[in-house]
Amino acid sequence: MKQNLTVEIPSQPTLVRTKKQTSKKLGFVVLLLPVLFLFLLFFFAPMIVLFITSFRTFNQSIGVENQWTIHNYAQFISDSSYLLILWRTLRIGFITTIICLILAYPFAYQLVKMPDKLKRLVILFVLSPLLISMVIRSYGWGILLGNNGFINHLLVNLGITRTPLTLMYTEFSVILGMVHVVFPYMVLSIMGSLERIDDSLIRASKILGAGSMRAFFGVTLPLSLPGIFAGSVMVFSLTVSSFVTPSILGGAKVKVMSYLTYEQFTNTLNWPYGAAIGFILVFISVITLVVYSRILSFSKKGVTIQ
Amino acid sequence: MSFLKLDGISKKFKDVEVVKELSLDLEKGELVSFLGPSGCGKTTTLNMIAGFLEIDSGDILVEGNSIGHLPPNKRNMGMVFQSYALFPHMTVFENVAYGLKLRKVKKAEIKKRVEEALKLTQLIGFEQRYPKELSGGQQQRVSIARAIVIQPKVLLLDEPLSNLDAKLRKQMREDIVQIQKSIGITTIFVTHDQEEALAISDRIAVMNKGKIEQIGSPFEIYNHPKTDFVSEFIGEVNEFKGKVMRRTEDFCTVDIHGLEFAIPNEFATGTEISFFVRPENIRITKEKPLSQPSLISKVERKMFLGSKTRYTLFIKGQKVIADVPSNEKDAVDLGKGSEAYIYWKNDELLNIRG
Repeated sequence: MKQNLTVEIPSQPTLVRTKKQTSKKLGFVVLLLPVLFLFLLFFFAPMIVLFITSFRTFNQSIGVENQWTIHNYAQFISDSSYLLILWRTLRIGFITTIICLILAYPFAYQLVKMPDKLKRLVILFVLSPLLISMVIRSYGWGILLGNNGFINHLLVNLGITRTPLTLMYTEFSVILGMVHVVFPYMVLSIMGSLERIDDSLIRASKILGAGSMRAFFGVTLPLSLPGIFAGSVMVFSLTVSSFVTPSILGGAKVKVMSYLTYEQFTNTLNWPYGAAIGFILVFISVITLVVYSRILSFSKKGVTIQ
Repeated sequence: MSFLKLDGISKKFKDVEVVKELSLDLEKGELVSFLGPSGCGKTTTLNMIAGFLEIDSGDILVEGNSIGHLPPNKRNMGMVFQSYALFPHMTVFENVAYGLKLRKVKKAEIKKRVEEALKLTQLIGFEQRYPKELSGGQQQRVSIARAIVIQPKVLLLDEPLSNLDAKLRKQMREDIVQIQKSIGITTIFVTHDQEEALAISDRIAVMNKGKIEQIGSPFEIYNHPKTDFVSEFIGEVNEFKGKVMRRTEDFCTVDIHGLEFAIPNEFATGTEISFFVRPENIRITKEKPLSQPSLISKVERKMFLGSKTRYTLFIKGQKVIADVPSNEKDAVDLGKGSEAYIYWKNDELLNIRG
């Protein structure tokens, strides 16, 4: 098991140790400083400013005013068209997550069984889309899905449909594009947890009388839940907050929360409302993920899900 | 009829024959150890018995029925893994109950049988713990309980003690034998630790290069090894080489380091022979013994090992080790550099060969 490798120095113990410990602590802090600085300055501070802004009033002629209000939030909640966009965003998130899960699990399951050399090659292949800009990938889907695109061209020429199908600027095209973008995250995180499962557990399950299916549902699946959870969290958060893919493949016809936020910030310049929309999305996603983790960890108590 | 029969089973990985036509018969209730160095095929053989590896040729029979090509879940065997392989997402109770649930045993019956198994392995009170909340020894006992609760035909143990510390290992191996005897289950115990094998086995199958070199009781294996490999692998040996000078009807006289000894076996005059003597069978005296031929040697090192004292001696450049019981050390308290006479009894020579 774990061995303690710390070597104690017997002579002058107190002096040496305290000096060492303080310098160790100092080193720890020094190493953390750069990232802490970046995080606080460029992530946390703007978030705070935006959060405050979301409670400010807005005047068309003056801009952001110095008055407190919850009007921005109230406006969103009371307007069904906005709520519809929130619901659509979450729906796209759910569907993308589920599709990724269904596609990625069997894929990752096969991947961990491959010999190392082949595995590395396939992983490289899975990751390769990440090397291409999201904009280019989205326009690539546009070429395939457009009214004069490859797919419609094929369908019409084969006589399957008479008129081209509307594939672009639909929820379908957004989900398709999103699955393509976030699929690697799901594969990698499921693979990580599958790889940690000791093969002898499956053997133990089999010799105790379980067939392959029972061994999978009784042992492999529950033990890979942490990977499923981590992958789902990543995929869901990336999807509901993504902007490029939904705007190119969905545009104004399939408005999502990030698109709405963008509109408020750049078109109407209503920063307080834009900020409120942003925080509503953050709030709702966090709640969704907490509920999701509760459901998962409820089913299996021995597996830790962070 | 033997209870478990391995009938000439073989296994090839790519072009390497890991197990070569291995045959073995186990009686009901017997504990047989597979002992050998790593890579000798012992674990491969165990995995074939369990059904994790397909046998290339031959067959495995339990009570006369062929199980050689059944999947592991149809073989009704219990197995204890080196890593314990406890299901981390299940409590001790759920782990032990797993095999019974798969057999669709009734709930009340499961509870009763799990309790019995936990009692046997001294785990009462730990039912609701998760494996990570247990010590290594406790985890091992859960693993044993889980294997025996299904009342398997055969119990397979794959180096079950190698992850435990020395003291616990000795305790556990006694517990294992005790449990094994109390339920009378036919057991195969794979190990590379010869002391372990000697201590617990009814019979030991010493394996080397995919074959059983020798099978026999621990006493036989230790005192009458049939091959060089077995003599050297089990216990320690000193090898002596000599030449047959003369022979009579009963014995031949050999010359070893210029001294003549009689050895029991028959060899032609002029044959180069060699044999082994165990360190504990090498006698040392300060004075030249009158009744026996002896070799003069020089003490190189003396090591006190508790119950025994180990002498490293040199006879004309050949290193010889001799173990003297520590309570006899007064008789032969020899320091480094002093001269000592060594001799042995003729019936303690191992594996004399020409």
